[in-house]
Amino acid sequence: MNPQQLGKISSRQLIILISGYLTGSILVVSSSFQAGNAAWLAIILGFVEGLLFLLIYLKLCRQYPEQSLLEINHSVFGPILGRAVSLCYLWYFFQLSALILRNYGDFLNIVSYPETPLPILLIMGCILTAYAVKAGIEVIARCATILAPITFFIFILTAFLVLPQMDFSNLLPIINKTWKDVLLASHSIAVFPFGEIIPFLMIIPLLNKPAQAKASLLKAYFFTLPLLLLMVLRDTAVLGPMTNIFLYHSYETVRLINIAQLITRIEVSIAGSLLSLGFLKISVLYFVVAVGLSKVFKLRSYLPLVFPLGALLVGLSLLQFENNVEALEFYNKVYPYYSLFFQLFLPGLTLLVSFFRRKPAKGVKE
Amino acid sequence: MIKTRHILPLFFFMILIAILTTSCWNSRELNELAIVSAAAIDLGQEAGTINVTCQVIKPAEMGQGSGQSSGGNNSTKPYYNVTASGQTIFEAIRKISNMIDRRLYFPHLQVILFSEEVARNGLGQYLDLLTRDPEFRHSDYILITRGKAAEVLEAKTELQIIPGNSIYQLILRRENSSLAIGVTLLEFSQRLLSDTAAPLASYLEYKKEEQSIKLTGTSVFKKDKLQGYLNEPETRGLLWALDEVKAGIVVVECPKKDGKVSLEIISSKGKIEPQIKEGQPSFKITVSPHVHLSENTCTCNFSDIELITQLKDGLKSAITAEISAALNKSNVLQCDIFALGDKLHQRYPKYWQQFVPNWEEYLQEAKVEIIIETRLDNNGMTTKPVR
Repeated sequence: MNPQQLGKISSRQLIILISGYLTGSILVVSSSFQAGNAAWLAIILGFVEGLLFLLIYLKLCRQYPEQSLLEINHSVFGPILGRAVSLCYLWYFFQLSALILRNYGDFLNIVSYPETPLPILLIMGCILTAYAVKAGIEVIARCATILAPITFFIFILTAFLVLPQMDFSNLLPIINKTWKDVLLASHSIAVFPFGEIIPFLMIIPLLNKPAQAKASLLKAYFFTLPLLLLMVLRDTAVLGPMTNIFLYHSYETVRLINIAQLITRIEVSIAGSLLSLGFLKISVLYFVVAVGLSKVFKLRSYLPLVFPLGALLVGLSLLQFENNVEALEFYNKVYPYYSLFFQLFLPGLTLLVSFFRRKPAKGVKE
Repeated sequence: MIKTRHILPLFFFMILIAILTTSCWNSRELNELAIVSAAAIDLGQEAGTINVTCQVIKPAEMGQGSGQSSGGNNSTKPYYNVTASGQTIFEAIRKISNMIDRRLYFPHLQVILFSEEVARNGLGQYLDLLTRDPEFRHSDYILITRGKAAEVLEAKTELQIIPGNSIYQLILRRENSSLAIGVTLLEFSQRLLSDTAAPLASYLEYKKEEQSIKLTGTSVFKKDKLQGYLNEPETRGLLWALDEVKAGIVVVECPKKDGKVSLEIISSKGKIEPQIKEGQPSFKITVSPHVHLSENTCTCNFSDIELITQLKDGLKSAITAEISAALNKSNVLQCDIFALGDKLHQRYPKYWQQFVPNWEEYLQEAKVEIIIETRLDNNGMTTKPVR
């Protein structure tokens, strides 16, 4: 497959795209609050744990420069096993995009469209992302350069607007739950969102200057940390013990904004900006799955796969959970371990095998 | 890029999107909504039921004067109170929809009134809907009313034509005197979730004969059950320590004992610091108000620094008296109204577990030191009194 067809993005676009992707759904629903007041600590620990994952990915990239994740699998495991491993990844990315789509669907359904059927919300979201995927990574990246900075700006602005409601004594005592809770929360932060950087191994070969791939990944990764810290500190300071109860912390925090009865009730516009990051996140995963499948099955183009995949995406996100309780259960209890297989085990295995193959067969491409 | 033959289908598609994707699945038109400005919750006649009263604004009547014109004729009231009973709040609310020809709309709700009876039986069960449902806001204020809460919504309020709005304004204006407290749903829930802190709520007094309302003092809860009230000086004593005094007047005896001096509070800072000494918790409450001398009914000439010092001492003892009164009441009610336990938990999380089970006993014995650092900024526009 001709890589030119997929388009090229600059490293700056990639940085913005990744930071939008990583902050995306965590701003809506965050598992860090399982750590109670130590949510910020969970974020930092999760960041460090996720950094270990990232180092594995970067090592892989250095061993097989300018190759995408699938091509690396091909080089390391050979054509048949390599395909199987690639399909595992693609299933994970596909399921992840369905999870996130569902996540946003539930969010909209609960906070603002209680009577709208969930499928309608999902289909609307899916049509939009399918359109973006069809347009290609260049368009998605250009969307990111507009949407992500606006969202970050609004997000930081809300932190200032909600200052009158903040009570920093809510951050004390630093540990109000057990260390076990903190470590569990930090692990779930490591796999969501930090470990979810892995689909970008499919996108970095599309960089116009591949040498900057490592730097871009690291920059974006480090850029995410202060944003997430700001989020949890803001929400803990405002909500205090109520963080244990609420589902959508950031939304609840923003609802409380009240500047002189004038700037108030602005949560819907802010939810809109959060949605735009969800759009980015789903588009990236969706794009990666479509391109990946087309490569695995040696199609000339990924475009014919886009709409069928979209239909499956809506179907999967509808069928996988009956209600948001099941979704949360999955997110909190299953996902942290399930995703380890794809985020840590498979890349780790690939790296290990590649060490044994002393001289990696460079440039094995379909 | 766009070819001419594509323009028409594209245009058609755009129109289609504009029409089909507007707003939600089902429309809610403004003229089909009944905007609720206040809700009142009373015990129902049958055991286990509650009466929910919603005060619905009648927009058509809003512009027509302040109700004076037609002399209390019911038909021109710009609001309409409608009551239904049910086992839960939501059941009652949905029953109301059979009694009123519009859909009840709660996001503009500002105050939620609970009658004393309901509060004594426990508020916790009623708060769930208010926090769970997206139509209610956590910035709504919670008030406890003496007598039936529904009656309060019939109060005659002269300036604001909707009683619910009027109550809301009273809560916002409480800061002028700092003699009453305003508690949002969020603040109430936060204290309810604490192990030891006593939830607080506003207290609304309603005089039936005059149909007048007054916001006064504080309602004090133990867990979710109403335990008692603080009067106005006790409330301000509490607010000093919680750093919620914004303005108000403290009246002090003049140094020569022949009159009173009004000191206007300009700003105030309050701080509670916990300490553990010999295994016993103790607390230090520091209050530092800035005041202006605003009124003087005696003949003293406060150009004299010595007299100002005496005045400040008077202020100190007045504030100390208010805080002590609140502390006393806290011990009488056995409720941790100052949230001292939370402060201790925040500062000494390691020792906290040993205090939690018998916190009330520790609270009774805890020594509280009160430190007042006053500042008198100015004397107003005169030096000597006119007389």
